[in-house]
Amino acid sequence: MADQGTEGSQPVDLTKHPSGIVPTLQNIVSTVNLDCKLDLKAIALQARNAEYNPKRFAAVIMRIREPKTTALIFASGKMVCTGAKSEHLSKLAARKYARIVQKLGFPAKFKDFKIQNIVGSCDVKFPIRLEGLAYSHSAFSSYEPELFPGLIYRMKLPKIVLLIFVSGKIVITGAKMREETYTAFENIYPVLREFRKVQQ
Amino acid sequence: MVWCKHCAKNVPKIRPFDGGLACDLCGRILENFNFSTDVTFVKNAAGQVCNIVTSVGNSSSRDRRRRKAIDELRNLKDALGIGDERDDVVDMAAVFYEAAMDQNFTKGRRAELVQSSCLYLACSYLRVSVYELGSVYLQLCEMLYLVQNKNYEELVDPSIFIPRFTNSLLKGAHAKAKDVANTAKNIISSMKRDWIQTGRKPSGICGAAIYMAALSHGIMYSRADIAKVVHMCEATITKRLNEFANTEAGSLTVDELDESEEILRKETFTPRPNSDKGVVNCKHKDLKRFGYGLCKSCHDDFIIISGGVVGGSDPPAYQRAEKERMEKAAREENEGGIGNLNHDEQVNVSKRAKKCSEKGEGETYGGERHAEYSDESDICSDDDDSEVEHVLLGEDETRLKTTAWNLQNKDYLEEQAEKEAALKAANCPEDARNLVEASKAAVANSRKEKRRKRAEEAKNAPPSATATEASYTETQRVNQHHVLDELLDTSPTQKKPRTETVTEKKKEEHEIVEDEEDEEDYAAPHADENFYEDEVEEEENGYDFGLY
Repeated sequence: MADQGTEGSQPVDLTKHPSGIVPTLQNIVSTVNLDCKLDLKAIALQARNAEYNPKRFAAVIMRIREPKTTALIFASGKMVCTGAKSEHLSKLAARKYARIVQKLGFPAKFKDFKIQNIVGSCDVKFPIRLEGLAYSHSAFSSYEPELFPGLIYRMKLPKIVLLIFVSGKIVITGAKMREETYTAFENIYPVLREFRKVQQ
Repeated sequence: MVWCKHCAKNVPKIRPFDGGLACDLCGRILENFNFSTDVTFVKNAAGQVCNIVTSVGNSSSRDRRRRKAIDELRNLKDALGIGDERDDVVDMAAVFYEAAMDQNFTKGRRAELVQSSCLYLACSYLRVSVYELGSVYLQLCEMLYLVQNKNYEELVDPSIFIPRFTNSLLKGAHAKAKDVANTAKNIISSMKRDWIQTGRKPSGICGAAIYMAALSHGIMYSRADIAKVVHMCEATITKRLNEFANTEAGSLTVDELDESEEILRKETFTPRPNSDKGVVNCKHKDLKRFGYGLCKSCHDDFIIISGGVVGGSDPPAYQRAEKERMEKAAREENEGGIGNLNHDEQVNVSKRAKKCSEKGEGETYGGERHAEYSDESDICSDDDDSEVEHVLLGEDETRLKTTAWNLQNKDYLEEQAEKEAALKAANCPEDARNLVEASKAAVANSRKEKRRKRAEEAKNAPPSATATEASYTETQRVNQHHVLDELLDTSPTQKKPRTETVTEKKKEEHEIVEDEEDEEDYAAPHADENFYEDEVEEEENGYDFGLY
């Protein structure tokens, strides 16, 4: 959706995206260190949007609506923030969670914020013959239709994993910077065009 | 020097303890037997002298085969990367292999195939994760590819399943097996060209093709029969059949399909002009490129296995995606028609989209910025907004949530309390003494109860009139004791829920004190019982004297 919005709102920068397609970021996982010991039971009982089931998982699960994210808060003070759609929103959400923990009476800080994983997706809008891709790039490809309907492409540089489906939809995961996602897609796009469906 | 299969070369030999011949490099057993080199002369019945070759460390042929199979299974396990600690898999596989030998299953079959099947069966039986199995499968393909330079991409071709499935299905109709197989092969070729195969399980594709081929040759099988043989769900086979029906080939007869397949198979292919020139992407770097960045042999294999990229229907997944795009476009046009009414809303939405995209695209997290952020220790209060303000619960809400949380995590809290109690009991000998005293008191109570029961039985036995009166009086007293016992029994029950609170220690001490009180209460009725027993005996004596 954001992809079409972007195309509609402004032209694509062809120097940066020669294919004319910009992958859409779908999920960002980040970590931050609050740098203080936390009483998870107190947090869970005083916060409206928190749940804590120590038999199931040893962390408080907290959610906020804007940006729509989920955080795992551990007793050691480490926190994992997932569900954001951009780096800026991920950091904003992490700061909000830290602020909530501060309001509950803990001397929380905001140290070592880091983006751990970025998941992107896009649609090339033509069918792809996965068998050909497996043939020509067998060193990087893993295509086992008995196990998974898509082709798993492990790119070496940048070190990214792409899931390529016959419908033309691509999932790009494993990036720590946005540019890695774009570079990986621009690298794979000529190969996808090589094995696109041609009308007779 | 002897040949070692594992090292794939001649290696120096070693024969430890006059046992089997082993490779000095990898330690693999090459021969499980050892013949003596000493010359032995024996005189036979005719008086002639001859030489006999004797075996050293002889054992039965069966044991040798079993031992060899275990070695092979262990080598397979190590090569496949199944965990080093999973010797149980090898043991289970050896059991399967021995059972197979009992049934003479290994005769006429390659030992490697039987061993691999036993190992696979053991993995399935011991519930090794299916994804672990898949990983093993992929590693097996990779190993075979690297070692023997074979094209393991052919494993995705549904045609490889045709002989197996047709043999399983058409046991009683061998005459038509070849025709069914040929028709199924043509149907699969058509499916490849129409992009039905890509991204689908080969066994499902093959099952649907065999179903159609069997029906076209007058052999009636239900989808359940096909599903059973190919291990696919009936719904999946139905989907493949519907997808094939939507293609042009679906409306052809069997003869027409055969003709079209022969025609298409003979068509020559011309390389695409826009391919990279001079670059060969496949593993045969030294050969001349032909098309799609492949050499001629790889290109031909690619065309056969996949059906090529020219012509055919669109793949079903792509058709669904295209339909969604069209529906979305139509919806947007409809919304555009009502745009006058919602113009302001649309403007706001587009503004938000722009802001989000600007924020997202504008941000770059290089090393320097990351360093800056990592030093940041304070959190500005500017980030506060309504949501953060409303996250905190009031006092009443906190109390309610605490009650609910305690109820939900009751088991967890009990476990924590038990752990703490166990730790304290281990650390404090005084608590241990209290526990010992409490247990002793409980044992004493149980003994006294037994005595009371026996006394009651004795009281009921005598049938004399005066004895009856005495027993009636005693019964009343016993009833009173029962009432007292019931009262005493209920009080511990009422106290039990309180032990869950933090003041568990105090309650335990209180219980011990009450146990002592119970002992004092029990002393009095004992004396009364003795007094009444004496009376009963005297009266009985009088009764006997009267009879005489």
